[in-house]
Amino acid sequence: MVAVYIGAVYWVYRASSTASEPAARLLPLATALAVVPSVLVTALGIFSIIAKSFRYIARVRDARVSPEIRETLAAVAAGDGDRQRLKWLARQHPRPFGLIFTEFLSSFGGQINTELRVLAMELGLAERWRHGARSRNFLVQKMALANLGHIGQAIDPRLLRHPLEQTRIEAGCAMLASGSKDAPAQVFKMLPDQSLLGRILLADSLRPFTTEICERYLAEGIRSADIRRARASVDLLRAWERWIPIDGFSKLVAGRDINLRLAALQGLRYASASEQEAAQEVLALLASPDERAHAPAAKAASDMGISASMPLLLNQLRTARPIPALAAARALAEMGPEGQDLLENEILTSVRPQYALQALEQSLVTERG
Amino acid sequence: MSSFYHVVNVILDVIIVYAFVSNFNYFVLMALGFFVLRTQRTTEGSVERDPLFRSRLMPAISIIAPAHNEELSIVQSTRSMLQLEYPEHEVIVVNDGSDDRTLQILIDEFHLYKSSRQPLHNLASAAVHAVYESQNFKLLVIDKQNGGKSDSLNAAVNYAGTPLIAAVDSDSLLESNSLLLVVRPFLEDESTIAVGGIIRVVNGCTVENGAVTKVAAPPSVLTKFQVVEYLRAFLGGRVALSYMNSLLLISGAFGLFRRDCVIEAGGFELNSLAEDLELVIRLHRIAREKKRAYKIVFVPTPVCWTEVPDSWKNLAVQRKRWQRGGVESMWKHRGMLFNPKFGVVGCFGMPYLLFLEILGPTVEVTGYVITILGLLIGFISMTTALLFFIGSVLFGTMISISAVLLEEFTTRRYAHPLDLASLIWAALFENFGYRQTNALWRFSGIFQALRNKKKKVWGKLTRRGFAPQAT
Repeated sequence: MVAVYIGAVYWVYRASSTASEPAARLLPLATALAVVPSVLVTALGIFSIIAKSFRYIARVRDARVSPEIRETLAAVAAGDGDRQRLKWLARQHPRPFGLIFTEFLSSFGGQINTELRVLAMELGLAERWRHGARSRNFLVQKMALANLGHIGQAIDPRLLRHPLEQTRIEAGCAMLASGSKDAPAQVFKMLPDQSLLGRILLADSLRPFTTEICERYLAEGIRSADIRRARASVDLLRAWERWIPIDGFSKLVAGRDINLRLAALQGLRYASASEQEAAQEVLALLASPDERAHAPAAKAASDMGISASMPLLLNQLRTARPIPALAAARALAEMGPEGQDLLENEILTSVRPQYALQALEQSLVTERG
Repeated sequence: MSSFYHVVNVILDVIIVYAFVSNFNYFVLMALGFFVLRTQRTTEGSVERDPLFRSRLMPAISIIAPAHNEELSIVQSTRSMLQLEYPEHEVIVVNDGSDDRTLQILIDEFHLYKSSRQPLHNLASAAVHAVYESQNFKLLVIDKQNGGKSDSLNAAVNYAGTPLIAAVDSDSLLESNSLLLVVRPFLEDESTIAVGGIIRVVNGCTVENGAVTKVAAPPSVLTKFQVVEYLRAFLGGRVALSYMNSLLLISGAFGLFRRDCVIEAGGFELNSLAEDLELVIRLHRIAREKKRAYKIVFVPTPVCWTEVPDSWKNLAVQRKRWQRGGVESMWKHRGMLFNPKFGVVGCFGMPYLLFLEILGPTVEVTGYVITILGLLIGFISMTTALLFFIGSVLFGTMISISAVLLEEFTTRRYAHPLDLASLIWAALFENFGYRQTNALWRFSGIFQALRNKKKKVWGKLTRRGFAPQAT
């Protein structure tokens, strides 16, 4: 097509090349160049308006039939509906039916979910989703994978190594939802290779398997020499925000890469088996020469109520740059009367009382609600 | 005299070639944009919101919104910013010396108290009179002496303590999921330093409780033309430029930046009329000079709805200002032009900005003047005039229609077929009168910039605010 078009344009140019004026030679060429895109754009415009009108009508029709699909599906899933009518609706209105079925699958568990699984087989939806899981259209693939997971069908483990991260994540989530026995281990293993976005999504799907992951894989992951693996494991802890004591957690991260330590700091209060051990790491970071550690360490000190950190915090408030100084002031304000007394004293005596004042004021506003 | 006519004819020939080349360039970018959008459409926006919304791993964001005499829309837009779906964000509104009741309305509506909050950075900005905080919302209001938009943005950055800052116009509305979407490139790639979202025209849409509830094409012809322009600029140009990592403009109406990079760059340039463009060019410059891996990205899914001028007078003021800002930024960073040290930005992004965006109106206006005079006096043949018409107007029309079709084939925000039809109609007629007037305004903007007026006047734009049924 393109070759024919280029050939035609060239032929027009050759035919007009005998004209004396350059513009007269170029005008047919320009017209020839313009004609096909003009026709194409006009045709596409008309086609788009027609297609949009059809889509609009289909949407209105879907909206009209949706309540009936919903009602019939709910009744059949509850065990007393008209199965034949449901099959007819699935055949006649596949699009809204598919969407509503997906919605039901992700919303219901227990007996209704078991019935939905049977229905998915009966109506041929499972087969359609198996095809969809290999689709090159990501949206189709994503929906198919999620649905297969919800009806407990096996997910192809090769998808966990798919070049597109989104597909890997969807496959991982679906595998976890399907109840596959080795899914938590496989998904945990793939975490280091994902972006932060992927880790957030997978961490959320791994929540129901927290105990298993912690008992069997987490400590080993944090201990790993591969910094990405250690970081991914620490991120899981932060994402879950649950009290999951890991023996010697602080020791596992102490003295390692500063970014890993800072990430671990936020999970310290959930993961440390002993308060003393956690306090040691916080104090070490507060005293660290690396300024990046000071503000997060101050926050951790106040979250865990480490009163031994007060002298270091006071020093930080007096000498550090604005962000760590403010973090230290806030931490002291959160430490109860003792910390607040120190701040009041600082307001009266210090040459830069502003951060102490701000932290005290904020604490007061929070107290008053 | 004949030699003069000959020279003029040669100039017109050059202009015709320019018109063909520039439109071809737009067409290529649009085609590239189409393929990028088709790929992105399937992956972006497909992420479930809930896991992101409840995750503790999401970076906190400060939304910074300068406001000057915004009493009509400030409550709706602030409320809309506070209600955005995001795990941790605060809103910093800067009252930039408003003459109206903007500050008092904010104080009353959000029960603000005078706070002793201190700046954390020291970017240049005018004197801050007072800082107010809300007891119930994560809202900070900075009341300061009038200093312009850049000045206000700097003041807000000074008070922001989060790793990311979102610069937003206070007369715009962000869609509820826009922060969750715009932050995605930062989560996907740690080298991302700035991300821009798409700006869409709110005129004609239904706005309820600070949110757009029904998307529709505006009824007025002038605003319809602007819808087409926005689609062409964002979906065509910026998607492709972002793909090549040579995106030079993240609209001031909605952009997300890494705070440390903004601070390192020295913040927004004071007195600039295009502080958004200038900052992005500077971010490119610094990253390239320091040989850092970085990304500046445009994403078409997070939407910021903005009210566009609905009078010719206001539109003229806006367009002249944009053009002046563009010229000033280009002049300031002229050393990057064709400089291989700056990679694709120096060799493609900057020349694109200079030749197509900045010089374009001059060339276009010159072409119209020569063609019309030439036809009247008779020193230009009808054939040459037709060539110019095909090169500039006909191809321009095709590109405008293609932009509307690009929207239809990818993001599809206008649900009703009549909206699509009316936008195609607007794309068709935009090139007969509107585009030429726009070129004239921009041409005069270049002149204003060249005269180098010391006083940078923003020009007063009249806003209608977000009435329940916007016009």
